[in-house]
Amino acid sequence: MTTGPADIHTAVFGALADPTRQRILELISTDGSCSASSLAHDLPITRQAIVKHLKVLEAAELISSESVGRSVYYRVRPDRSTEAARWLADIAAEWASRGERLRRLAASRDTMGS
Amino acid sequence: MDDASIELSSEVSTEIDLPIGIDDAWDLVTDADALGLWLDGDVDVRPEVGAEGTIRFGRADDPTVLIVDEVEAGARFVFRWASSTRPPSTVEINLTEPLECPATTRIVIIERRSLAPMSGFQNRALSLAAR
Repeated sequence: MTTGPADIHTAVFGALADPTRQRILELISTDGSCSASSLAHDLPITRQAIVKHLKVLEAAELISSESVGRSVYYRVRPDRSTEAARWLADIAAEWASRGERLRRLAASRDTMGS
Repeated sequence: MDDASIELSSEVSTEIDLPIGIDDAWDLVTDADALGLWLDGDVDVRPEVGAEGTIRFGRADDPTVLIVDEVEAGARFVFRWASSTRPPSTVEINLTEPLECPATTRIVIIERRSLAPMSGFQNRALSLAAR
Protein backbone atom coordinates (compact mmCIF):
# COMPACT_ATOMS: atom_id res chain seq x y z
CA MET A 1 0.00 0.00 0.00
CA THR A 2 1.37 3.43 -0.90
CA THR A 3 1.31 6.44 1.36
CA GLY A 4 -0.40 9.45 -0.20
CA PRO A 5 -0.42 13.12 0.84
CA ALA A 6 -3.70 12.67 2.75
CA ASP A 7 -2.19 9.83 4.79
CA ILE A 8 0.87 11.94 5.57
CA HIS A 9 -1.35 14.87 6.58
CA THR A 10 -3.29 12.61 8.92
CA ALA A 11 -0.04 11.16 10.28
CA VAL A 12 1.34 14.66 10.92
CA PHE A 13 -1.66 15.84 12.91
CA GLY A 14 -1.98 12.49 14.64
CA ALA A 15 1.62 12.86 15.78
CA LEU A 16 1.04 16.45 16.89
CA ALA A 17 -2.08 15.57 18.87
CA ASP A 18 0.02 14.17 21.72
CA PRO A 19 1.40 16.80 24.16
CA THR A 20 4.51 14.74 24.88
CA ARG A 21 5.35 14.55 21.19
CA GLN A 22 4.76 18.30 20.88
CA ARG A 23 7.23 18.81 23.74
CA ILE A 24 9.76 16.45 22.15
CA LEU A 25 9.47 18.37 18.89
CA GLU A 26 10.02 21.65 20.73
CA LEU A 27 13.11 20.29 22.49
CA ILE A 28 14.63 18.97 19.28
CA SER A 29 13.82 22.24 17.52
CA THR A 30 15.45 24.27 20.31
CA ASP A 31 18.59 22.15 20.50
CA GLY A 32 18.86 21.51 16.77
CA SER A 33 19.68 17.86 17.28
CA CYS A 34 18.88 15.45 20.13
CA SER A 35 19.31 11.80 21.00
CA ALA A 36 16.71 9.78 22.91
CA SER A 37 19.07 9.76 25.90
CA SER A 38 19.42 13.54 25.98
CA LEU A 39 15.65 13.94 25.68
CA ALA A 40 15.24 11.55 28.63
CA HIS A 41 17.05 14.11 30.83
CA ASP A 42 14.40 16.75 30.05
CA LEU A 43 11.25 14.66 30.12
CA PRO A 44 9.55 12.72 32.94
CA ILE A 45 9.20 9.55 30.89
CA THR A 46 11.46 6.61 30.16
CA ARG A 47 13.93 6.51 27.31
CA GLN A 48 11.95 3.56 25.92
CA ALA A 49 8.77 5.67 25.83
CA ILE A 50 10.69 8.52 24.18
CA VAL A 51 11.93 6.17 21.47
CA LYS A 52 8.33 5.17 20.73
CA HIS A 53 7.30 8.82 20.42
CA LEU A 54 10.30 9.51 18.19
CA LYS A 55 9.25 6.67 15.88
CA VAL A 56 5.78 8.23 15.53
CA LEU A 57 7.29 11.65 14.78
CA GLU A 58 9.67 10.11 12.25
CA ALA A 59 6.85 8.15 10.55
CA ALA A 60 4.97 11.46 10.20
CA GLU A 61 8.13 12.89 8.59
CA LEU A 62 8.28 15.62 11.25
CA ILE A 63 11.82 14.57 12.22
CA SER A 64 14.67 12.71 10.60
CA SER A 65 17.30 10.53 12.23
CA GLU A 66 21.01 10.08 11.70
CA SER A 67 23.26 7.46 13.28
CA VAL A 68 26.53 8.77 14.68
CA GLY A 69 28.57 5.97 16.17
CA ARG A 70 26.30 4.13 18.58
CA SER A 71 23.92 7.04 19.01
CA VAL A 72 20.97 8.14 16.88
CA TYR A 73 20.39 11.90 16.60
CA TYR A 74 17.08 13.45 15.58
CA ARG A 75 16.45 16.72 13.77
CA VAL A 76 13.25 18.56 12.91
CA ARG A 77 12.23 18.41 9.26
CA PRO A 78 11.27 22.03 8.62
CA ASP A 79 9.40 21.23 5.40
CA ARG A 80 6.79 19.10 7.14
CA SER A 81 6.56 21.38 10.18
CA THR A 82 6.09 24.39 7.92
CA GLU A 83 3.33 22.60 6.02
CA ALA A 84 1.51 21.81 9.27
CA ALA A 85 1.98 25.36 10.53
CA ARG A 86 0.65 26.72 7.23
CA TRP A 87 -2.53 24.61 7.52
CA LEU A 88 -3.03 25.90 11.06
CA ALA A 89 -2.40 29.50 9.98
CA ASP A 90 -4.90 29.19 7.10
CA ILE A 91 -7.55 27.76 9.41
CA ALA A 92 -6.86 30.47 12.03
CA ALA A 93 -7.19 33.19 9.37
CA GLU A 94 -10.51 31.73 8.21
CA TRP A 95 -11.86 31.72 11.78
CA ALA A 96 -10.60 35.27 12.35
CA SER A 97 -12.69 36.44 9.37
CA ARG A 98 -15.70 34.41 10.44
CA GLY A 99 -15.40 35.69 14.01
CA GLU A 100 -15.36 39.27 12.78
CA ARG A 101 -18.46 38.67 10.66
CA LEU A 102 -20.18 37.00 13.64
CA ARG A 103 -19.31 39.96 15.86
CA ARG A 104 -20.69 42.44 13.30
CA LEU A 105 -23.85 40.36 12.89
CA ALA A 106 -24.37 40.26 16.67
CA ALA A 107 -23.73 44.00 16.95
CA SER A 108 -26.30 44.74 14.24
CA ARG A 109 -28.91 42.60 16.05
CA ASP A 110 -28.02 44.30 19.34
CA THR A 111 -28.58 47.71 17.69
CA MET A 112 -31.91 46.60 16.23
CA GLY A 113 -33.01 45.21 19.59
CA SER A 114 -32.12 48.29 21.62
CA MET B 1 -10.96 38.80 16.99
CA ASP B 2 -10.06 38.71 20.64
CA ASP B 3 -7.62 35.88 20.36
CA ALA B 4 -6.62 33.35 17.74
CA SER B 5 -3.91 31.03 18.92
CA ILE B 6 -1.66 29.13 16.55
CA GLU B 7 0.89 26.63 17.64
CA LEU B 8 2.18 23.45 16.12
CA SER B 9 -0.61 21.22 17.30
CA SER B 10 -3.65 19.67 15.71
CA GLU B 11 -6.12 22.42 16.56
CA VAL B 12 -6.92 26.10 16.20
CA SER B 13 -8.96 28.02 18.76
CA THR B 14 -10.73 31.35 18.53
CA GLU B 15 -12.51 33.38 21.22
CA ILE B 16 -15.14 36.00 20.44
CA ASP B 17 -17.19 38.18 22.79
CA LEU B 18 -20.63 39.13 21.46
CA PRO B 19 -22.75 42.03 22.78
CA ILE B 20 -25.90 39.89 22.93
CA GLY B 21 -27.43 37.39 25.35
CA ILE B 22 -26.75 33.72 25.15
CA ASP B 23 -30.14 32.83 23.62
CA ASP B 24 -29.61 35.22 20.72
CA ALA B 25 -26.01 34.03 20.33
CA TRP B 26 -27.20 30.43 20.23
CA ASP B 27 -29.51 31.32 17.34
CA LEU B 28 -26.59 32.90 15.46
CA VAL B 29 -24.45 29.77 15.71
CA THR B 30 -27.14 27.19 14.98
CA ASP B 31 -29.72 28.76 12.65
CA ALA B 32 -28.80 27.85 9.07
CA ASP B 33 -29.47 31.32 7.64
CA ALA B 34 -27.46 33.06 10.39
CA LEU B 35 -24.65 30.53 10.08
CA GLY B 36 -24.53 31.24 6.37
CA LEU B 37 -24.09 34.96 7.02
CA TRP B 38 -20.99 34.61 9.17
CA LEU B 39 -19.51 31.42 7.71
CA ASP B 40 -19.94 33.15 4.33
CA GLY B 41 -21.66 30.28 2.59
CA ASP B 42 -24.99 28.75 1.75
CA VAL B 43 -25.75 26.57 4.77
CA ASP B 44 -28.28 23.79 4.93
CA VAL B 45 -28.20 21.97 8.26
CA ARG B 46 -30.46 21.37 11.26
CA PRO B 47 -29.01 21.62 14.79
CA GLU B 48 -29.90 18.04 15.69
CA VAL B 49 -27.51 15.28 16.67
CA GLY B 50 -26.87 13.07 13.65
CA ALA B 51 -28.22 15.62 11.16
CA GLU B 52 -26.32 15.80 7.88
CA GLY B 53 -26.06 19.04 5.97
CA THR B 54 -23.99 21.03 3.51
CA ILE B 55 -22.25 24.36 3.12
CA ARG B 56 -21.46 25.81 -0.27
CA PHE B 57 -18.71 28.40 -0.02
CA GLY B 58 -18.84 31.01 -2.76
CA ARG B 59 -19.24 29.54 -6.23
CA ALA B 60 -17.44 26.33 -5.42
CA ASP B 61 -19.21 23.40 -7.02
CA ASP B 62 -18.08 21.00 -4.35
CA PRO B 63 -20.08 21.34 -1.12
CA THR B 64 -18.60 20.90 2.29
CA VAL B 65 -20.58 18.25 4.14
CA LEU B 66 -21.39 18.53 7.85
CA ILE B 67 -22.52 15.97 10.36
CA VAL B 68 -23.80 17.28 13.70
CA ASP B 69 -22.28 15.42 16.64
CA GLU B 70 -23.41 17.33 19.74
CA VAL B 71 -26.15 19.84 20.54
CA GLU B 72 -26.47 21.25 24.04
CA ALA B 73 -28.92 24.13 23.73
CA GLY B 74 -27.37 27.46 24.69
CA ALA B 75 -24.02 25.90 25.46
CA ARG B 76 -22.38 23.71 22.86
CA PHE B 77 -22.67 22.84 19.16
CA VAL B 78 -20.24 20.34 17.62
CA PHE B 79 -20.03 19.15 14.04
CA ARG B 80 -17.60 17.47 11.67
CA TRP B 81 -17.07 18.78 8.17
CA ALA B 82 -15.14 17.74 5.09
CA SER B 83 -15.08 18.09 1.33
CA SER B 84 -12.93 16.81 -1.49
CA THR B 85 -10.48 19.65 -0.78
CA ARG B 86 -11.01 20.11 2.97
CA PRO B 87 -9.60 17.34 5.17
CA PRO B 88 -12.03 16.15 7.84
CA SER B 89 -12.04 18.21 11.02
CA THR B 90 -14.25 18.74 14.03
CA VAL B 91 -15.60 22.17 14.96
CA GLU B 92 -16.63 22.81 18.56
CA ILE B 93 -18.60 25.97 19.34
CA ASN B 94 -18.89 26.62 23.08
CA LEU B 95 -21.00 29.45 24.53
CA THR B 96 -20.79 30.93 28.02
CA GLU B 97 -22.12 34.05 29.71
CA PRO B 98 -19.17 35.84 31.38
CA LEU B 99 -19.93 36.57 35.03
CA GLU B 100 -18.20 39.95 34.79
CA CYS B 101 -20.27 40.99 31.82
CA PRO B 102 -23.89 39.79 31.87
CA ALA B 103 -26.01 40.09 28.72
CA THR B 104 -22.99 39.27 26.62
CA THR B 105 -21.85 35.91 25.30
CA ARG B 106 -18.34 34.51 25.03
CA ILE B 107 -17.92 32.06 22.19
CA VAL B 108 -14.93 29.75 21.96
CA ILE B 109 -14.54 27.91 18.68
CA ILE B 110 -12.05 25.07 18.32
CA GLU B 111 -11.34 23.40 14.99
CA ARG B 112 -9.46 20.16 15.40
CA ARG B 113 -8.07 17.96 12.66
CA SER B 114 -9.83 14.64 12.63
CA LEU B 115 -7.39 11.88 13.44
CA ALA B 116 -9.67 9.19 12.08
CA PRO B 117 -8.59 7.55 8.82
CA MET B 118 -9.44 9.67 5.80
CA SER B 119 -11.37 6.82 4.21
CA GLY B 120 -14.15 6.98 6.81
CA PHE B 121 -15.88 10.30 7.23
CA GLN B 122 -14.50 11.98 4.13
CA ASN B 123 -15.72 9.19 1.85
CA ARG B 124 -19.14 9.50 3.46
CA ALA B 125 -18.97 13.25 2.94
CA LEU B 126 -18.10 12.81 -0.71
CA SER B 127 -20.93 10.37 -1.30
CA LEU B 128 -23.37 12.80 0.33
CA ALA B 129 -21.99 15.64 -1.78
CA ALA B 130 -22.59 13.62 -4.93
CA ARG B 131 -26.32 13.25 -4.22
